[in-house]
Amino acid sequence: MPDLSINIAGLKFKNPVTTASGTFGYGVEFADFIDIGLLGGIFVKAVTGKNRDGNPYPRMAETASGMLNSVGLQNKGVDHFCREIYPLIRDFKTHMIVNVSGSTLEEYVEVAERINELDRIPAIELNISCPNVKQGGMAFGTVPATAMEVTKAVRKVYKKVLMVKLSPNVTNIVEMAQAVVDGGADVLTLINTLLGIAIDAEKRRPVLSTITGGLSGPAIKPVALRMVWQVHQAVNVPIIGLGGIMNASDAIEFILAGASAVQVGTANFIDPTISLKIISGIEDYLNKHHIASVRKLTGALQTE
Amino acid sequence: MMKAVAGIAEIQGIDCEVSLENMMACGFGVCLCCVTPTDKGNERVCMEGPVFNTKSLQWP
Repeated sequence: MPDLSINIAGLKFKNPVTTASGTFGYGVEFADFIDIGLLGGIFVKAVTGKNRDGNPYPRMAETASGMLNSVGLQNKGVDHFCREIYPLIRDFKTHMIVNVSGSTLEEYVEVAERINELDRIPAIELNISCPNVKQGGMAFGTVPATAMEVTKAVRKVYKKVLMVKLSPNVTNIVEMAQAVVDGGADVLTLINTLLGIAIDAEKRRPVLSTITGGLSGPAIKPVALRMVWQVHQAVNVPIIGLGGIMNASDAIEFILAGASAVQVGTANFIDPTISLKIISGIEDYLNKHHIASVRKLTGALQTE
Repeated sequence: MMKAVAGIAEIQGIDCEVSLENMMACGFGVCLCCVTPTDKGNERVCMEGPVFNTKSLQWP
């Protein structure tokens, strides 16, 4: 039996497969479809300081090998999360990691402080990469100094594992990675969605209400792999890779490129059980190649 | 069209329900893409709908 367990910043995961924020609700929504306790972890939907209604419909467009979304961080805010949602998810037998977002630095800090008090949440994922909100989100994740500043401010109040989710909408992903590591990040998760547009040629209008949205799905995998690889070469913290993972082979590609674990996102919409299939697929791969532990594959890409 | 029917129903004082069809990514309530504005905020056509009483809908 190959060993699927991994250790990221002191946190032990039973396997490297987790689900991406915004694609798995709060976990409860999937409990009817799969045994979520089998997952390595779940990154829950973004929590902001205040309630957010999100963007007007239409919020999604199907594109070649992927989709655009512009949901806009719809959620009921941190008070509601702590009071109403946390009690429902605190006893799940997998790591429940909270995605933290905001429009201002103060909001990021406020949410991080509140989540810090929740015993059963071992980590947060700082979302400085959402492209679908007017303020905050990606605005924080495209300028190294700002990314470092927000990471540093959150680091002061958040005592557990601090993961930072990077935006690919930058010229130099290594520079961004370095900035947030300098700010105190324990783990990097990359990539978030790529900024894109879908147009309805007959109506002569954009499909999304916000015109632009975030591209996800298989179309972005080569970009995501490249960024994981570049960051892994340059920076010394563990990486969780995401971007178009549809099957176990995709997941292995990210691990070879330098990821210690992966997040599965868009694929959940097509097959809610896909994350479990990916876990057994990784096991099959390790068996087939006679590799005892998935940890041996991290960054094992052969380049000469 | 739904909006027009709802308008007629309101004028005539007839109770009216409509079945909406918004673009969906997941179809089971997790992606938050198919929302429509109602008196309760943004509700999911795939879960809280697809049938809504027109009194609660806030047509854009």
